[in-house]
Amino acid sequence: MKFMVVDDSEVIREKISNVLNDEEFEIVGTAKNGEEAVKQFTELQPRVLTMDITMPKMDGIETIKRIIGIDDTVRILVVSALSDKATLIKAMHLGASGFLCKPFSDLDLAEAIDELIEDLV
Amino acid sequence: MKDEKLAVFVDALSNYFETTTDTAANVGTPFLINNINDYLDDFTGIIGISGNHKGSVFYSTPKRKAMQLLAEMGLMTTMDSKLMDLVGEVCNTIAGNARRDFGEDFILSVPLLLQGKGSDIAVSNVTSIYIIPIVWKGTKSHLIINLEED
Repeated sequence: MKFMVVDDSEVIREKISNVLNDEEFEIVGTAKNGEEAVKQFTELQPRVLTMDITMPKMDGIETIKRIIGIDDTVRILVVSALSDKATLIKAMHLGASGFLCKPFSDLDLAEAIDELIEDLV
Repeated sequence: MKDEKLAVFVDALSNYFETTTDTAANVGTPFLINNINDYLDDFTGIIGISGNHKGSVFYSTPKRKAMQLLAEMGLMTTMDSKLMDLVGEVCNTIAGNARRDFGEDFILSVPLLLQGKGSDIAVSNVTSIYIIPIVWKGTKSHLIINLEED
């Protein structure tokens, strides 16, 4: 399953890629802001994304809106430190499918992804 | 900022180390300081805050601790750029978690990253500067809070 990681932190992009780069997932791209993510999304057509919220150039909320506008069947897991209810509701309202609050363990991430793609596999 | 609100940052720090590593950190009692520069270490991440609070949150750490923390995350490196990225992410996570208590009007900037001790940083001298010490695996780092409520 094609997977893409969107986060302005290189460390987080690497951590998520390391946890998920197994037989089930193929990491087809990583992006450090929303602009890069939208550009790569059209080209690489991943089925699942992780999405940070606070990023330079284009934040995660705007990026979710644009990506869902291109393909509303994609599964987006928001992975963010912004743990207030309003951010969660806004992201879900725009089409995100799940929310994982930073900080997270490898197990937290694996479980959140399993739940996200339960009906796809 | 009211002293009792510092508990939000103490809890976020404890949770960060507990969740990200196998070793809990000893998060100390916050105390007031006059000069922020005395507490800046090899790498510092700064998050600017606007909205219902104004000011900054800093996380500053020695290089050795940043390398240990990254290694715990399964990422071995001595590259300064990656270590700086890590301190920015720690600072962003702690400040972001505070939104659970302070609400969506607690608005965060993207991280500003500094390398090197002795930086000549000036912050508001109207607002109190609090230090929260963190000892993890025998090495000390600091969270620095310089916030006023709007």
